[in-house]
This record gives sequence, C-alpha cells and structure tokens, in this order.
Amino acid sequence: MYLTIYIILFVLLITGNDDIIAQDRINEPEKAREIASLMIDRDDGRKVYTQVQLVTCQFRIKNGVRVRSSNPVKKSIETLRIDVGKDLEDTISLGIINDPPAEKNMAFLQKDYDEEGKVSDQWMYFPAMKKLKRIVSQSENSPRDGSVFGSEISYEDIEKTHVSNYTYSYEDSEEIDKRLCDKIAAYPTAKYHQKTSYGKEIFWIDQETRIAIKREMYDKRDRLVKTFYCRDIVNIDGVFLNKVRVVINHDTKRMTMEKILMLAVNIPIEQELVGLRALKDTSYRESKLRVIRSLAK
Amino acid sequence: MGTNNHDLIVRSGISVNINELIMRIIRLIKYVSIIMIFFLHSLYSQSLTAQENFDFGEINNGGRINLPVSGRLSFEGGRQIGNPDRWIQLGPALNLVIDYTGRAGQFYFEGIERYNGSYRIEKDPKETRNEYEIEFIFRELYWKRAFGSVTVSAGKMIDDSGVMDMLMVIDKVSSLNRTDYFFADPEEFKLGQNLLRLEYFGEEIYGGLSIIPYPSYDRITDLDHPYALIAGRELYKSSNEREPEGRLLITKYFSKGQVSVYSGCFNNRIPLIRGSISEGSGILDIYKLYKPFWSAGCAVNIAVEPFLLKFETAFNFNRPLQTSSFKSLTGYLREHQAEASFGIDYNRGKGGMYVFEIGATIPMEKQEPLAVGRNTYFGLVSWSNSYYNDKLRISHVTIFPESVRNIINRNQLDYYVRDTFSIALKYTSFSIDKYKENYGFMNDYDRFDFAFNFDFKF
Repeated sequence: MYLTIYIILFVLLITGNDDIIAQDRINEPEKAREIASLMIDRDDGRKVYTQVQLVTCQFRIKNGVRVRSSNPVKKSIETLRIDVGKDLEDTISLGIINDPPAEKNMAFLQKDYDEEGKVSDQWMYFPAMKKLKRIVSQSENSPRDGSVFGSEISYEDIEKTHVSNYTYSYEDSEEIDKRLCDKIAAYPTAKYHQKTSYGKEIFWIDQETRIAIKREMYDKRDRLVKTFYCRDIVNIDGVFLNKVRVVINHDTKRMTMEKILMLAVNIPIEQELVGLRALKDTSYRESKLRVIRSLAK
Repeated sequence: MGTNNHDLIVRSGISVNINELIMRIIRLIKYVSIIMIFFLHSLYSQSLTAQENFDFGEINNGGRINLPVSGRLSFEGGRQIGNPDRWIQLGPALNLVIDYTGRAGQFYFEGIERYNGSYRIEKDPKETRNEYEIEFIFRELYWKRAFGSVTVSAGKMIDDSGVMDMLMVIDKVSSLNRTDYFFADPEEFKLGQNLLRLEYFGEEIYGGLSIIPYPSYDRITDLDHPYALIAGRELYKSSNEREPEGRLLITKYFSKGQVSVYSGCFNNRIPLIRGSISEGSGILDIYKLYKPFWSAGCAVNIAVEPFLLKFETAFNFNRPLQTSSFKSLTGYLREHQAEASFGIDYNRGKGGMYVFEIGATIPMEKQEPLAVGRNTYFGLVSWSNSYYNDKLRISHVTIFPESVRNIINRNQLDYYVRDTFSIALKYTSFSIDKYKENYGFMNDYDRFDFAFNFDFKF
C-alpha cells in the first residue's frame, strides 16, 4: 500500500522537473521539428495592416465556460507589419493606439531581427509629452516579460522565435475546432532556457494552415501559465491568418481577446511608414494610412 | 544509583511517548499530503483539459460620431498641508484636443480651461482672484503638412528634443508652465512655442530647423498668488522683450543609439528681474526681462542592454544670469555657462521602469554671486509601473535639488475604474533646509492632490 503511494508521489513530484520531462518524453524529434519549422516559417503576409481591438478582463468559470467577471479594459490599435532585410528575414511593426482617449496616438515601433541573439530595437511615442523615447526592454539573456499594451500577452509570447531554440517532441494528432492538428511539445534548449519564462510549450498546429490553433505555455515548475487560442481563420490571397486570438492567463485569472476588425495583406506599404517619422509625425502618417485603410476589409 | 535508574526509566518513558507522537505526526502529514496532492493534481488536471471556451460578453464600443475631438473633464483638488495649511486647487478643468488631418494637412489644438475656487475659499486678495481664478492654458495650435521627406509646420507647438526624461539640457525651445512648480503633471509642464519649422526625415537622419519669430516665455505667477515669484508684486513686461530665435537640430540614428547636435539663439525662458522707480509716483515697479544668447550642444543615447545610457551637454555663450542683487532688484550679468546631464533608464518589464538622472549647470567665470548660486546640481530617481492591465499606474519621483540632503518626493497613483473614468492621487513632500538652500522656501509646500477624470472622444 505504502509502496504504491510512494511511487505515485514520486511520479507526481518529478513532473515538476523539466529536464527529466525533456529527457524522457521526446518522441519523433525530427518530425516534430519539421512541423514546428513549417509553423514558424509559414507565410503570414509580407506586409500586413490591421485594425485590432484588445479586450482584457478577469474571468470566472461558469458552466464550463470562462465568463468575463470584471469591466473589460479595451484598446483599439492600428498596426502595420512589414518584413525587411535582404531575404525579408527581419520584421518591423508599428502600433498606434486609437482608443482609449487618454492614450490616443500613443505609438510603438519594434524591429525584430532574425539573427540569433540580436535584441529587438524599440521606440515609444508619448503624445501627452510629445516625447519619442527609445526603450531597452531586456538583456540578451532574460525573458521579455513586459505586457503588450497592458494585455495578458507579453512581448515574449509574440516575439520572433527560432526553431533551434527548442527541442521538439511529437505527441499526437488531435482535432480541435474541427481542424486536424499535430500536437507537439517544445522544450527550451539549455542555451535558451535562461531567455524564456517558460519551461515547456505545447502546440496544436493545424495541418492545413500551419497556424497553432492552441498553444499551452508552462512555467519552469511545469505549471500551466497561459493558453492561446486562434480562431476565425481566413484565407486572403493564399495567406492564412487568424482574426481572433484569445489568451487565458491561468495565474492571474485574466483573459485577453485580440480581434482583427479590418485587415489588408500584401498591400504596398513603404518602409518609411514603419519608421520613427511615423511615430511622431501625425500628418505624414495619416496621409499614408488614409490610402491603406481604404484597402482594408 | 536507584535514583539514576528511575531517571532513566522516566527519561525512557518520555522518549517513547515523544517518538510515538512524532511518528503519528509524520503519518498524519503523509496522509494529509497524499490527499492534498491528489486533490490539487485532480484540480490541476481538470484545468488542463476542461474550459476550452470563453465568453467576453457584449463589448460596447460606443456609438461614435467620429469627430476629431477628444479630451478630459476633471474635478481637481490640491491642498497644501504644510504652512500655511490651505487649498491650492479646487474646481473643474477641461482639457480639449481638436486633431483633424485632411488633405490640407493636420490641424491641431490643445488647451486647458480651469476654474480654481481655492482663492475664493482662502479669501485671497481680489487681484489674485481676478488674475488666477479662471485660467486658460493655451498649449498648442498649429498646422502641419508632409511634403515627401519634408514636413512643414507653423503655429504654437511643443518641441521635444534631447534624450533625458527630466533633467533636459538641450531642450530649449518650448516654454514651461511654472505656475505650479513641482506639482504640475509632466503632461502639462510644457507649453507650445510660436514656431515655423522645417523637418527633414532621411533614412536614419533627422534635421529640424525651427524659427521662432515671436517667442513665448515661461508662465509664472505674481501678485499674492501662493507661488508668486515675488510675493505681493505685479510683474510688468518690458517693452523690448521679444527678440526672434532660431535653432538647427540634426539627429543621426543608429541601431543601438542616437546622436543629436544643435546650435541656436534663444532668450532666457524664466524672466530676469529689473526694478525701476517710476518718476511720478516714486513706486518701485518690477519688470521682466528677456535677453538673447547663443547655445550649442549635443545629446547621445546608447542601448547597453538592459540599460539605456543618456547624456546631454550644452554650452551657453554669454547667457544672461540674474545676480544676487536680485534682492535690490537691479541687475543681471552675462557669463558663459556649461550644462550637462547624465542618465540611465532601466526597464525591468513587470518590475517597472527606473530612471536615474543627474545634472549640473556651471557658469564659467567667477563674477558676482548669482541669485540661484553659482553652480547648481540636480539629481533624480524615478520609478513607474502599471498593474492589472494598465488599470492601476503608480509612479514615484525623488528629486535632489542642489544636494542629496534636499529631497523632494512625489508619489502618484492613477486608478482607471473604467477605460474612460479614472481617479488620481498625488502626494508631494519637501525636505529642504528652508533657511540655507535656494529651494528652501518650498519646505512648507507639502501638498496632497486628487482628481476625478473623465476622458472623452467623439
């Protein structure tokens, strides 16, 4: 009797050790890595414009559904994203807050580099003080745990990742939202371990679109911290994009919905429009955005 | 011997009882642990597998007319809790922004209309009430339009140059609102300058030429305003006070930093004081003087992860400086003056943003004593963070004027009850030797502020 209990206890206890999980549970690593690679490198548009609404609130569970239990914090944001560089390997993103009124015209610019170890460049424009400020948000060896526009999404969650940062394990194939998905687990390599808040991630990757329909993120003690869901997938000229993304933060009991209201893919966007000028020169930015907005659906 | 045996038996008996007790406790802990672990694990497993659905409820986006009008309606209160203990601010305020961008360019207006009932409550002199009870702070009114790589703008505009957050050295264009000393919100501290500006935006280079034909100067208070520059006296404008100004600023951006250089001609923004006895009445009248000087300098920032290092320096040629004969209200002198400041930003993500800055202003010659001392030093440490999805924002600033012995603490808390409704609380305290230091007069100015804010956008 005691022996059985001790064995169960031991098994439960060791589930907190990532290294042991990583060592013991690796299945078909090459297959899993290839699936992850297809997900990371999938075509999500070279030039993308969106009008996004971010809604964040507390939740409680009622009849098996996570239901909003507090006043929502809402933000309305326009974003531009373009791929740049010789092989379009780097990405520049511009985000401008339109709502709430107190934050109107606050803008954020970020350049993410494909080169491993190269830290992103970030700037913020604070309209109330007319101040353009460079932001240094991380050291090379620490996770970027800051929140994206006050939501439950952190910069780390959406930053450009590299296939080589993880060891992969193929878990299964499962159907989620009527889509057949490959389920893979990703464990940070020893080198990347310090740079991420997470000890393990599990992806359910749609076999057709290569979008991670569901993504679970566990901390280094193997506790589930966040779950991402992608919904409302659309095909625009052969580019698959999800119009709704929901993140559940199991720690804070808060959830965020990122909903794309207007979208334009692979439209002409000048690189200058995702530059420092666009942050503080509203007349320039608006003159260019007027054309782009007319192309969005 | 017998006694010893008895002791052993007693000790042995007690020992057996303790051992049994310990064993029972261990067993109890085991059972409770097993039950707890199974309970927690089953709960945890359930959260892994269930609750795939979510309901954000109805999100009311409001019926927007889409007018280019936004702003903030507030009720503000400020009480000085030092000496004298009195209301400084009490009443409503409206901050209105009209921001329209069309084919002809951007038209922007921002102003604050404020009623301050504290002068009436505190029975301040009628002149003070007439002057300050209702005030309009005209911040900006300009037109701006982009032509290719060049942007042209004209009007009253706030300018921000340099890399420092607070101890700015090269940021000489905008005028400041000094009517509220350290109590003004940073958003309200700067005022627009009358500018004609040409800006060039290259790939990683910026050039800006600002021409200021009719400069506006810092707002200050006079008469019997609680923060009057010279209590009880009205400050008159002198006749030849506005000489044109100009500045050229060039900034080069790098992947990990930027370098700016500037050169320009400015007038002093805070007035020099000159007394003059009027011939007829023999009364001493006090005039505000503004005199031009040349200035040049540079600003640099560089990202050294996880820090941002910032540096600014300026050299002011023959800058007019108020002498300590300010007390006899006669004069000023001109001296070369060097200014420098150094700062570090440290962004800790969830842990908030820390800013450290130190700055010094040093006249280069040794002439008569100056009204604010020969060398002036400032230091500051600030921290700010937001919690609960930006609903709660907390900030703290400690300023060290002249010396680390002098401390000004400012703590602010903003809580957003809704996206458009917030409550702000602010407490400012001073610890300065009131008889010894230049800022000693502020030692009694400890103040508590509150505001209820409603943000709107049509």
